[in-house]
Amino acid sequence: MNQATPPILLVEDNPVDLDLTLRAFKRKHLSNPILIARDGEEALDFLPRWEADEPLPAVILLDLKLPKVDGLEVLRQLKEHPRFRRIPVVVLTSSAEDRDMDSAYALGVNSYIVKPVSFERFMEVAEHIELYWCVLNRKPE
Amino acid sequence: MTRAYRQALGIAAVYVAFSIFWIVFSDRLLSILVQDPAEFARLQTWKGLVFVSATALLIFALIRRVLAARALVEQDLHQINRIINRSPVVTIAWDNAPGWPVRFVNATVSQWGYSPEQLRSGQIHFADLIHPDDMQRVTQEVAHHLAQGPDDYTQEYRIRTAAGPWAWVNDRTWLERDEAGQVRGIYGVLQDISTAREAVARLEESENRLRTLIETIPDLVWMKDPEGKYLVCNPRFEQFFGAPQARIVGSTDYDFVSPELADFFREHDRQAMAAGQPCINEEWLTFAADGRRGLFETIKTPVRDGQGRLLGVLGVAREVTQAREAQEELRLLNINLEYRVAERTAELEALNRELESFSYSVSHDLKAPLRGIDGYSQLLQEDYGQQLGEDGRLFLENIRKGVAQMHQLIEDLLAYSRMERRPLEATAVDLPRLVHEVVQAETESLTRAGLQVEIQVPPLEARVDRDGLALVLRNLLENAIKFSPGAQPPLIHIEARQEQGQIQLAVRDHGIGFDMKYHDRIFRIFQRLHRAEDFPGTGIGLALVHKAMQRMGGRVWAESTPGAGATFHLELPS
Repeated sequence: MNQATPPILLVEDNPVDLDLTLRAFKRKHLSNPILIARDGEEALDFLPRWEADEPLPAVILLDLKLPKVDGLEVLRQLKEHPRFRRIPVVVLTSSAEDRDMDSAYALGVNSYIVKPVSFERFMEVAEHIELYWCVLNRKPE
Repeated sequence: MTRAYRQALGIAAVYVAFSIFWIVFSDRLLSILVQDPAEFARLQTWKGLVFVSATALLIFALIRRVLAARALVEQDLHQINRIINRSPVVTIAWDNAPGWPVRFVNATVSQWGYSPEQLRSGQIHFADLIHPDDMQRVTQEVAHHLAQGPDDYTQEYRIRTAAGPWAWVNDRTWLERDEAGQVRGIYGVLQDISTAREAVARLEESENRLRTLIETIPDLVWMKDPEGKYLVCNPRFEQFFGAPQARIVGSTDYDFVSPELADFFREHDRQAMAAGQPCINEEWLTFAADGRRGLFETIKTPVRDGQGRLLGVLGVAREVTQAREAQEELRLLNINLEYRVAERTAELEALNRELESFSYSVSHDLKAPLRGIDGYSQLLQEDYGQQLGEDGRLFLENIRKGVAQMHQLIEDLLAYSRMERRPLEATAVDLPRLVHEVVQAETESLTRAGLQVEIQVPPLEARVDRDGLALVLRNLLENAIKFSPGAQPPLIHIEARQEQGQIQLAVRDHGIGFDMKYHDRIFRIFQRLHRAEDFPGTGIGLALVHKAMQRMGGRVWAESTPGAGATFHLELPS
């Protein structure tokens, strides 16, 4: 795996949203490999893999409403981890509820983005995310 | 025999005795001493002169003694008269005869408006002065004393004063009897006691009132001396001890109630005496008379005399059982009410949570498929548009419009439900600044519509929920923009003023307006006056404004004429 292009972890249960996200990234010619978790449990399964020295993702895109273990719980466990707490987590959700936003920020989320309904806008968002978190943003090695 | 008669007789007797002694012995003595007849005759003349001188001297001495004694008596009498005539008492002497003719009365009788002469001359009979109501009693008493004694007695009765009113007199009388026991004179000292009697009467009246009060009030009233002995109590208190006052007075609590309760009473008595002011305590009392039990509020007040000496403790106990029961009932009702309110609140909270999770689902789950439809229809348009033909592309276009409207509807519904649930917080809001911010945010749509906003907002500060008011203004402005196509002049006015401490805002346009018969409908959710192709919208905007103003404690209403623009008025909470 290429050191220069770390992966992006996409946690998304909805197959339509997942497919559209992948298509949006593809249309915007994203170079990062995409890792996928279809629920909270699968997301947390990455933790032992990273401990076994798999490369850490540049950013984790996390949906909130997930089967088995919900997004906020995944976020909590990530942000409590001594090492992986540094991985930027961007919540990408349909919910614009204050309650969800408050909880996410209280747990230490790095960014909170409401999924736009319009695919046009969604592609712009995908581009922004890639540009910001994978290119512009610097973080300690 | 009078004294004067006796004295005169005495003087005459002494004269006679001396004269006889002289006649018998003077000639005999002279004949022994002188034998010469011529000498004897000469001395006889001298002897006659000596007799006249000696008797004159004797009579002078005797009369002088009598007169000196009389002068002394007269002087004393004068003194006594002076004293009596300056005193409030009236001295009087009657004959024991019908109508009690007055033999003597001193000058002080004038205090009742009569002169001594009027009475002594018989012009006024003393019996006529006595009050008719007292007459029979006085007569009987006098008759009784005349017949059987004692000879000293006191009477009280009323006499009429010359001015008319009655005067109460105290009459101390004694009777003078002759050797045969017949009453010869009646002597009295009269004193006017009207003032004292009035005072006594007033005192009695006030005492009566007080007694009636104490005996009829439902409170227990009593007084104990500093040692705890009862001095007085009222009938209600008698019921408590189940004993008459006569038995209670002089006894202590220990004679009637349990030692523990008596200790309790005594302790509170001591507290009141020590405090020097009224002390209040509550106690459960059981009435010995009927076994009834009640809660009493007792006030114990230390009582002192004029010199500050402690006389005892006055106690008043009032029953408060019913008041307490009512209080208790009220308390239970309150608890019950609080419980019910809590129950209802919990129900409401549960409902609210349900609503929240519902809108959460709406925002999350309804949007997801919409995103799919929008995404794939766009991909279809972009990747396969050429293969679809013109009709196909129009269908796709309409699908995407439907999605956009559906999306708007969901967003507006979410905003409305958020406004219903969101907690509001009133803060000091700089009104001109807020208005400028709202207008600033709409610059793009204003430019697109070719409209300008004229702001006339004086520097006012309102105490409202900032986000709520911003949402209201934004919606009204968007509304004005939407309904102002081709408006002349192309202006929207935002004005504010303060009237009697209340801030009013108005958003005025020159747009198409509306018929006032629809005034109430436009503020109801999903109510629209126009076809979607003319003016797109969800029918939520003004309902949201109405809801927000309602929740902030303010008011919104509108004025309009079709074709002549509309004005939306806001009244902020004062």
